[in-house]
Amino acid sequence: MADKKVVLSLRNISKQYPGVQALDNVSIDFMEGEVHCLVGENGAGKSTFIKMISGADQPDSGVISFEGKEYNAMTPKLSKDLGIEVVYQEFNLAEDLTVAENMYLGEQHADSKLFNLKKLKKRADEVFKKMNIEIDTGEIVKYLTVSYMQFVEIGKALAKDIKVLILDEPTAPLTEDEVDKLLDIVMKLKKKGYVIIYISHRLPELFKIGDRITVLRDGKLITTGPIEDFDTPKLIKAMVGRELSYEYPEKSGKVGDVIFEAKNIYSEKVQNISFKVRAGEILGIGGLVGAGRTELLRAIYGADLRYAGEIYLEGKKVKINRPEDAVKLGIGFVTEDRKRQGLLLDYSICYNTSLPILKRISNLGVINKIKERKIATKEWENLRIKAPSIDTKASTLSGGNQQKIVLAKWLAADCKVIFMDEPTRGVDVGAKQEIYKLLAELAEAGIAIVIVSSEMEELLGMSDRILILHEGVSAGEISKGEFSQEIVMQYSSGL
Amino acid sequence: MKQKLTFKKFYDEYGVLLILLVMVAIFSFATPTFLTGANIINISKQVAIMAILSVGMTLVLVSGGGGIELSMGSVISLVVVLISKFVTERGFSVAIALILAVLVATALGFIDGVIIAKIKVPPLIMTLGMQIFLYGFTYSICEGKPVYGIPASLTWIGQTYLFKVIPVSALLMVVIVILGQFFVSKMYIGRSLYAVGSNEETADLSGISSDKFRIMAYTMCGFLVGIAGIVMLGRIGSGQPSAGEGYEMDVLTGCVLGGVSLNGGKGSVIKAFCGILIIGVLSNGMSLLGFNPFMQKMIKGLVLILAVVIDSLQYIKLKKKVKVLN
Repeated sequence: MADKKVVLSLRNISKQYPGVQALDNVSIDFMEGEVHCLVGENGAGKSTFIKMISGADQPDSGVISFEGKEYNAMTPKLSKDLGIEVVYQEFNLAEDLTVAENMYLGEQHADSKLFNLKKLKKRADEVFKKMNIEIDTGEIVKYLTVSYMQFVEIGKALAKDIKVLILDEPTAPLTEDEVDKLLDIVMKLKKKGYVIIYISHRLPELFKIGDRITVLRDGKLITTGPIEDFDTPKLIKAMVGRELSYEYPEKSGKVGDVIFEAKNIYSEKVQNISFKVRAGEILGIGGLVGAGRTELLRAIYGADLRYAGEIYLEGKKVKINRPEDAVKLGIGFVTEDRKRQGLLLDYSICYNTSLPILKRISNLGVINKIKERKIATKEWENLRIKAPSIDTKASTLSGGNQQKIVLAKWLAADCKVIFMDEPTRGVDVGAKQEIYKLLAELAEAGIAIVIVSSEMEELLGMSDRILILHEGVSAGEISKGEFSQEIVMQYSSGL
Repeated sequence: MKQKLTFKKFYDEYGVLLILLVMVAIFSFATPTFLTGANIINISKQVAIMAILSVGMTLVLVSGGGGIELSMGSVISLVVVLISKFVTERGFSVAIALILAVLVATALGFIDGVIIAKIKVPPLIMTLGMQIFLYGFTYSICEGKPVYGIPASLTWIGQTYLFKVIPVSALLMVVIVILGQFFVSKMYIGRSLYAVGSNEETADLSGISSDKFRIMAYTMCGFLVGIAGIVMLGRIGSGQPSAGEGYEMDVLTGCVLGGVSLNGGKGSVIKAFCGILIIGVLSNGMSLLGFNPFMQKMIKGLVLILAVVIDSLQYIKLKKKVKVLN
């Protein structure tokens, strides 16, 4: 290893987001001509780490050095100028332009003032030749298959004079054959001396192409070393080996009848998923980011188009075509992104709380403000929202209290079933505990709760049962007795 | 909690009123005729139509999603010509003619709303297209000529005074503005419009269908434009196909000056009304001071841009600096 030159090196990088230490004193070296795999659970800090390198965000402390020169942070422009390119999971292509045009988008054509597609095509052809890919560079991008779009993304990066290529889940949208082709390309690039940072949830492929592997967990570097030192079980162990640091509230475990049932749900992102929830039960939905967890809830709730599937509430089949129907039936949805989907930030706690029941508390179309304030005050006290009054603007509160407002909304609406997508995202430790306590109380009161969580610990700690999704299908259901981090990780990875 | 009094906050709360007072003061000094009873009554008559329209425009702007209504003027022209035609040529009774005209205006608003909410046509394009179509339609049904000979019962609303001082149209304006303010601040539909305009996704997921309420906003706006059309006919006393031309821009300027955000979810009917008063005072004052119409247009255009600039200022953010260490 010593003969290889360190190109990019991050030293003692830390980054804090509200409520979470996303990166904690992480140091990694990246060498010339190596494929460096970065793995970790959801929320382990991989994306944040990439953002530090690409300049999409800046670290709180630490040093980034590139070929001997040190920087306190990167900006998107600086990172590009140094020769670092990221190929993201979501494509970033101008779909109505040709492959060649996409490759050189934003580049100044110094040799000629006029746009010359022929010349561009010739240059693009050369890049793809090096990648050993046959593609018509005059083709409009939107007519390509997903795998070729992926290749164009990589080609676009290679068309620049780059040294570091970051691939974020490059194989996620690809089929088996296409994956092999992509791995082939990666191997070729490695031989050419590029530094390749490779992020993937698909563990088997890491062993095919990786030289070194780094495991992140909770923003900390857990282990790093040559790929030969690892095997799948060891890797999973390193990824999940977190200690259960919270106390989870005890529940009596008494559950009632099945309140909610979803049968054979199909949508763009999920296939044939069924589950039941009983009164007083907390069902956890696990799986990796992109496995279709949120999409499942949205499809049931009528927020996304549902292709097929039946929904039963207290044994009766119900029709939910849009969220309005779900709200009327007494199903609440605490969304993942509370700022964008859960709250009216510019409005008061009171206004936010009464949102789903506005019609119910109106007489002849006029809102009964006394009733509105009474209900809002009740939930404000009930949920122990820390704010001077119910007239406080939602935007001025902390994440945990904002989350409580969203919850207050659904309690005010007397929901029998509550979906919660990442209930404690961006919430500090103290508030987290409190939300757990509240959830347990709600379950005790007979509400059926469905939790989607990327935090393994939370999932295991709060759920009575866990349904695990993998790439849009059910990978299995486990009941409390069988809970273990390894099993959840194994199912989530589709192993 | 510490509350810093920023320019933005101050402008939000009292800005319109302050501008209005400053303008009244300036014009009062500049010309002795400005602050007279006769001129104030004159201004109230001039702003009556705009103020009624501003209630509708506020509903549409508040509902968000780029909501805007640019076909107001053309709908007024259509209403004016339709009523005149109905009464003078078809022999409809005045009441029936008025009801029909308001129904047509309401239906047009509904059509705008459905196409905008359901098919996601940008409101700007939809209502601009509607405007062009309706002017063409209006001019073709009256063959480009004004319709004369309407009965006095139709001009009553535009030309009569209560107790010999208060114009009926101004009274109607006050009633509609007060009702409008009550509607947006106290009623379920009004509150829902703010929710939809402030955050469409949150509203939808809370069971407040953004499509449904946007359609309502355009429909109610259409209704109010119909009412404004009746006032217009009463004022001008004949079916002029050009009656409403240019009104939407003045109304829009007034609303934005009054702090109704082009981004939705923010604004009040009362403040929009203050904005309309600014436009009214500005037009009146400039006329009294002998500004020519071209000059007036230039100033109005600048005021519109200025109002939008202030509205947009809050969306500009600053970035963190990055430096090389060695």
